[in-house]
Amino acid sequence: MTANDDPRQPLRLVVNDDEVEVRPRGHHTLLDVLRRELDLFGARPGCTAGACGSCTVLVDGAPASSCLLPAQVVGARPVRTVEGLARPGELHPVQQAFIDHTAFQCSYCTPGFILTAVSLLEREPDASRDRIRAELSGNLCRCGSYVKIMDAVLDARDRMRGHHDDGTPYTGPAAGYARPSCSASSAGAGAAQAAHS
Amino acid sequence: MTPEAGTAPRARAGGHPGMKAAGRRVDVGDARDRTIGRYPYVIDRVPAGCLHAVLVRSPHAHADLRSVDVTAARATRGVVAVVTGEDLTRWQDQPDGPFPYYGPVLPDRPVLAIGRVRFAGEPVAAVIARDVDTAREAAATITVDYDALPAVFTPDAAMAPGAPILHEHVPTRDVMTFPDLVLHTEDGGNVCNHFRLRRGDVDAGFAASDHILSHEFRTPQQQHVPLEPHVTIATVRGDTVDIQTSAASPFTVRSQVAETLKLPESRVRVRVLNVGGAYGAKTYPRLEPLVAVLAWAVRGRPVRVELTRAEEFATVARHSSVVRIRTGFRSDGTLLARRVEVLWGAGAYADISPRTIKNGGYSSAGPYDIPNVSIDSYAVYTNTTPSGGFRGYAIPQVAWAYENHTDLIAEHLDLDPAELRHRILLRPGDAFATGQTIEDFHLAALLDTACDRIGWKPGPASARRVVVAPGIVRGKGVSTILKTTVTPSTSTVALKLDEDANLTVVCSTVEIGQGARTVLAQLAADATGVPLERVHVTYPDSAVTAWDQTTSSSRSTLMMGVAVERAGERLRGELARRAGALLGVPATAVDVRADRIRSGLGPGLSYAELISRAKLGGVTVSEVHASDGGLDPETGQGVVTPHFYHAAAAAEVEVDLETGTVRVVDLHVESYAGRVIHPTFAELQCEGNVAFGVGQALSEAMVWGGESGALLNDSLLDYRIPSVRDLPETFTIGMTEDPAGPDGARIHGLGETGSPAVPAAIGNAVAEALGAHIHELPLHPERVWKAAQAAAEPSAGT
Ligand code: FES
Ligand code: FES
Repeated sequence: MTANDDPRQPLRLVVNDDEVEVRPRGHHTLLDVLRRELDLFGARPGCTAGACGSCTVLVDGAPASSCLLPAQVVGARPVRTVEGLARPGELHPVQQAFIDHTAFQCSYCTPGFILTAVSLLEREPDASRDRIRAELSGNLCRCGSYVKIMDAVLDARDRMRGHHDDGTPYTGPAAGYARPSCSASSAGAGAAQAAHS
Repeated sequence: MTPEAGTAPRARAGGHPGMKAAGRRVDVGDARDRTIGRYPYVIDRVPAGCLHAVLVRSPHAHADLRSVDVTAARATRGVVAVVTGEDLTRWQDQPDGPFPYYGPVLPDRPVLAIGRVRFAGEPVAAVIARDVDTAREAAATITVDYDALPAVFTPDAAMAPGAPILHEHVPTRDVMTFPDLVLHTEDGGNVCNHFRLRRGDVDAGFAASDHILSHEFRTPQQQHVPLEPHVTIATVRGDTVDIQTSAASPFTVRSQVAETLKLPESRVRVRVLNVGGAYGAKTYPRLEPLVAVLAWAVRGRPVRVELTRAEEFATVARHSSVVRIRTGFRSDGTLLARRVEVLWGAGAYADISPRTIKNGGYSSAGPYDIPNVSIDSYAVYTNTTPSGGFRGYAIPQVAWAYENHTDLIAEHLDLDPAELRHRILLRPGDAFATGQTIEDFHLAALLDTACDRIGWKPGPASARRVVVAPGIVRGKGVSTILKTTVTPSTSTVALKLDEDANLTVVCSTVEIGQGARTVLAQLAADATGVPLERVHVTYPDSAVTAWDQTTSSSRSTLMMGVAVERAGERLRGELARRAGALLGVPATAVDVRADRIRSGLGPGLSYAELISRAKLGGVTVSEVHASDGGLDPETGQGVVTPHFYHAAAAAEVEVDLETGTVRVVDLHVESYAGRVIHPTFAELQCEGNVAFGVGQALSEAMVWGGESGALLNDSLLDYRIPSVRDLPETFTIGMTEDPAGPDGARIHGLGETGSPAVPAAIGNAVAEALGAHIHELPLHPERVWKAAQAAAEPSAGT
């Protein structure tokens, strides 16, 4: 079948709480539809093979690689993209934590990491560091912003549940993370460090 | 249209007027956009009426093209044009027809294959259609008849007598595009450039040596894997060309497209947004000449090409290398002579190889004091994806070689590898292999810091080698490297203060994730006295923004940073002059700082008040910063860099002798920073260097094979880049600043510095654990297991 005899079929989707009508071809993925028809560019092609997570969206609250998901099979399940995560005037705590920790360089991977983390923390508010690391391992950041991404997600977890791992109430993003407190030292006098453990 | 100005960075709470922005973790102005999916990349752009092109690529590594049949594709409904190499040849003779060959140094690459393909993945034909689906389906109907030829994949094979020749004739330009480059090319072989360095008398040095050691080391091609693939949109209207592209050097793109379409450079406009990762992959024209030619073929309508991940692997790679290194030394470790031969797998077309091999050439001497050095570095055509710059710019390959070699020398002399380095490292006042005097250099101190961080125990390997369980062994390793930045080099900037005293930094530095737009805003705020929240930095637009050489080589904070600082000084001088005229006092009696203009006592004027009262409308100044240098073409002696970037790494690994798996249990990378402008972005760059280093050390390699010589791992399922779980369990990075303090301290680029030190430190640690050096990267389980087996054999039972 060619594009010429694979006509576009009308399809209803629920994206970021809006019901929208799109007209994909049979083989179009959810990623194709989001980018080409809905001008939602937060989900991004990285590998189109399910290996990088930069196209991550939430389908029924669970992270999905939109590059592999045929638009036709989404059905009535609600789709959430990074554009639909913030409430009016208020970012999601995970978004805010990514800002507070500068958890990005080129930022191409950022929406995918945010959505994966949101889904995890909504299902498992007490997710451990190891659990978070395992869950994020399906998202790739070529710039290597992982240290600060981990810091951001741990901070978001505590922010969302209101306390740190040791039970003390959550007070702010500066507390308790492996975030370096200063930048650097002079030659030979020992170095500042960003610990990742 | 004015270029889109980005959101200004805000100063973090706690700042006060007049407080310096540089050196602080100021908020990133567009941080919010980055988290809500509104941070723009060129890949998000699809202009109205845009056509889409899809490429047909060769499955063969080397073949003559017998015929390309595009009849069915041309007849497909929705297809606007199909272009092949034959069309290029035909158009070449038309006065306004495109010139079919391109390349940053040598115009050796056809926009689409003409007569022959030289690597699997080379574009042979392009289909332009109303949508991607149609283009793709029409492309599938194109049949190409190939006559396969013998192919070569490694530079040593390509230099061997009787090897298939890729280019019978290596074309050159009348005017060299690169002032720092001298070409030594010859027809009849596969060498597309040869760099030579001769210092002192190596034969005499070897004759005076107590010991001589020679080794050969190898590294494979790697791919950059920017998550945003190359994407270019081109429109040709009359004699103007508009290009939007995901590229790190807009003005290099502009020169190339102007040459390709035979237009003055001013007729070509190149615009860039945020780039979704580059790491060297987007430094030279890659996709743009082709898309410009396609746009010329359908004049009037935009043509867009977005590469797939598999195509990305056929676009650019890191050079493979074979390094043969021979060093003569005294029994106390003093190095007397070094001879190095480096063969670089350039891939099928020269791209930037003629220059890469120069840097990789002189850098192969290492950060050591060696009076007699002889280096021959060759860029060699191979039937693979063309190689270009890749984070570290040829240093990771030679550092892998010379740092393993340094440890082998230490082993030979029964010396602690850190102690040997302390004896032989360059120190301020010494001369580098190119003769340039070393200054502002702290590598010995960085090495000490790195050793401290991982708990290095001095002594022979046995002092550190630990058997933690049967078959599980730990070892430690160190490395020290230096790197240069492109020289000579030039950056220009304009600072535009508007009527409300907002400042726009009009420059062409590309935001590739390094934080350039934030860092330049900080420097501009400090230099002008305009508060950071009122400073905007443009996206590059060659029609509007000031010329810059390139965003690469870890040069932007240094070169553009200095240009911005000087322009800021000029702007304050201009405000003083205007205020003096308004107030009737000499300019020298006017003090301009922190958004205040004063002469004598009193509150003075704000910048905006001056502009309004003096009816200036605004004030614009510009500034250029250029560095000088260059090497003698025969001896490779001269100035290679404004200053030497340097880093040390120390690693501890755990090797499972049964499975060959390597776990990095601890790692510290210490880079010299001079002066840090934005601590968080600086850390991110240093942490990124660790991720790149670990990928190179343990897993990344492009594997060529199969019957036709194709790339076997051209997807992210098969070519693994590090995820968060592949990073060392513990690692730390450090940035050493100038011991004299920030005033007068120079900015050292950090974007690449630490990366080359990582594989070498890991390799030396693995060697210590195994008791044997592995000479080839990556250290994947099979290779490590084999080395463990071999090391166990002669002395079974240990
Ligand atoms: S683009 Fe979907 S997982 Fe990579
Ligand atoms: S920030 Fe660039 S890929 Fe993650």
